[in-house]
Amino acid sequence: MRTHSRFLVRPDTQPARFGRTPWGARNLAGEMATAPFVFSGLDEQCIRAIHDEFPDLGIEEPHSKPAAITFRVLRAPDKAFHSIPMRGWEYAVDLDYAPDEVTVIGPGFIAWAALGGANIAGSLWLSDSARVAASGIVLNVLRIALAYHWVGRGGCLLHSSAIIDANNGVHVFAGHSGAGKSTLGRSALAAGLRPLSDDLNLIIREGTDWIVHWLPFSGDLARQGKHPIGRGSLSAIYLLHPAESWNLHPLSPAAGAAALLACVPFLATDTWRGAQLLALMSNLAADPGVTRMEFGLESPVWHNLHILPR
Amino acid sequence: MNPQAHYSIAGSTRFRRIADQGVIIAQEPGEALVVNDTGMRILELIQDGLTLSGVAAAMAAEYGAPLADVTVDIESYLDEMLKAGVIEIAH
Repeated sequence: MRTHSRFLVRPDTQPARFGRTPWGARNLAGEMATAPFVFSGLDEQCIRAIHDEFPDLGIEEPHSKPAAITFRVLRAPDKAFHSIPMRGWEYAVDLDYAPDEVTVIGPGFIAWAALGGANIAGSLWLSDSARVAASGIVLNVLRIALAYHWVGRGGCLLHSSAIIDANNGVHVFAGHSGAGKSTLGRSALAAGLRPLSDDLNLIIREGTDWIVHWLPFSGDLARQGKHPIGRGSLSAIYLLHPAESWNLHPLSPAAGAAALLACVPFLATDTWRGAQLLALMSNLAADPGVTRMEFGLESPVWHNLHILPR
Repeated sequence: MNPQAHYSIAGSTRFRRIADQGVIIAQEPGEALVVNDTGMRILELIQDGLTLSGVAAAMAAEYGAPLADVTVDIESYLDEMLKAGVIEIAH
């Protein structure tokens, strides 16, 4: 348990002492990139907010398969957290890593998950002050849980825009915030191409192939309902590098792995998963490899990369 | 630097040889570093428990370079790795 989160009043806070009172009586169950998940104890307002934004995300009834990710949503006292205005505030969570567990602390909430078993099981304590942001907090915890679910199974989330070509191959454009992922997504739409997420994509190994999965809960295009449901074989990975002029630079496998590591959310500083992540990035950087793409706003990206619409 | 100094790989550091280079994750600062084959070899020798003078002797033998030159280069490299949190002075 982290002892220096900026969000907690007392550094020695143990959320188990908050009690086990459910936040609400509703459940959200679904399947995310083949991983069934259940959040129990949500309230009506939270469920409605999630479905308003992402109508396809989750159903009320538990999934027929055992859930890979299970969270109970419980009540936490406001007094445990520093008072921070929640509405409209973009925040970064504090993550505390351990060999078999991870703790996520943010404004008005703590999530804890056990990672030692075949599945991820945890609790999410929400304070009343976090009510207006509860749906976003649930989705953030789900994203983080999904990252942990997949890293042990040879998969990773990557900050990236992913575009499907005429042959159903997926071209992944990785980069930090501001590198041009959403711009590329909009450019792809305008060119008649099918984008997957323009913010976060899941890449997993299936047999000898890398498969890129659409994630329903991220990116500007998802929020506008302009996403296709889908997946496809990974064709290429580009590292976005805004520049004055167009250029492609294939990176060495080591440089490619290092560049990809910088685009992995949540896990990049997790010592306990570092070796798994490094092996995964090394494999991706070796095949299909990583190419640094220098581009400007006027660069004819799709023409230059020979990526054609269906 | 003390030639008999022992270094160790920091507990949070992960590294991996990839082709003729290596990637180091220095997880405290949250950085991924790329080093060449020589840099990787030095870390491997540190991991094997060699002192600074031991690493220098091994590298001089492996690369056929003068010991004094190799020692200066290794000191500089280890200093960088210390600052990056990749290695620690062993106690």
